[in-house]
Amino acid sequence: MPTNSGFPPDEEVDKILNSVQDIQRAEMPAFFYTRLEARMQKNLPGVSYGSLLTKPVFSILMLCLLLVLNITVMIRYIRSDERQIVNNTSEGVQVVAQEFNLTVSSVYNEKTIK
Amino acid sequence: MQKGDSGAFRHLVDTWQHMVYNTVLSIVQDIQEAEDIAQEVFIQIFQSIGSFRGDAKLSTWIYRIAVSRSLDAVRKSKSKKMLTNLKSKLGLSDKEKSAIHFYHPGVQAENKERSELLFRAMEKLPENQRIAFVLIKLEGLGYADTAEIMKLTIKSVEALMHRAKENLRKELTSYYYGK
Repeated sequence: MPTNSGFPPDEEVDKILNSVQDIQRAEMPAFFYTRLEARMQKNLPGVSYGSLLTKPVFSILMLCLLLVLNITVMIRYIRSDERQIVNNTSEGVQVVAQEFNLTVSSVYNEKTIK
Repeated sequence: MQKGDSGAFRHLVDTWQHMVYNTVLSIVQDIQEAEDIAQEVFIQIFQSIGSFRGDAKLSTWIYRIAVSRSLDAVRKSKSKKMLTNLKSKLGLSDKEKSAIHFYHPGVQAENKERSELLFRAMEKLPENQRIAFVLIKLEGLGYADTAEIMKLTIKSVEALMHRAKENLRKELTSYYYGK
């Protein structure tokens, strides 16, 4: 313990303060760059999506793309719906006509019956 | 480097790693933490190299990042210690852990105990005095370079060093007299 070293305190304090002059620079443990690189790859993937999204050009482009996609899907959906309605109505008329024998027999058919 | 050249970044790390490590280690006084902080320093350099305009020297800029990162870590660990002390006093956690002795790797064997006392006394210094003392005495920088890093005048750095030495002497003397 320093208190038992036998030195008068002032002299010992001077020695402690002067000891700083003999301290050599601490050196980084070996392979620091490898560890740093690994940490950077973990924390900073090549392109960070967060930073991409904050760029106005990218976000506007994405918004336009989404809008175009939405509009095309909507137009296609409406058109296919219209076609289905037309198909459904023509099929329905044919079924009713068959049910009530409303079909017009052709001349060729009449001749064959006779 | 500013164009994202990884070879240039490696060269920068190789050139400055020991200086960053020594500065950070002398401030935080923890070998494990010092390497973590040094890594953070280089990551910050990599991310913000584009904003480096060359007004100051590259070394000054790197020292500033290293010092500010180290001070952040010291503040965090201080508040953590205070919380642990408070918890132990309130009986919410185990007894306080005894202080871990720090031995700087650059210290010679015969000065091990003395430098351990010196580093313990350095912990009690106010931030500015501590930084000035580390940069001048442990990094071997001149007053002009230290003033540039700390954004102070040379006279202010001289005054800081004078007060740092006085405070260290007081702290060490009180330790000897067992106050």
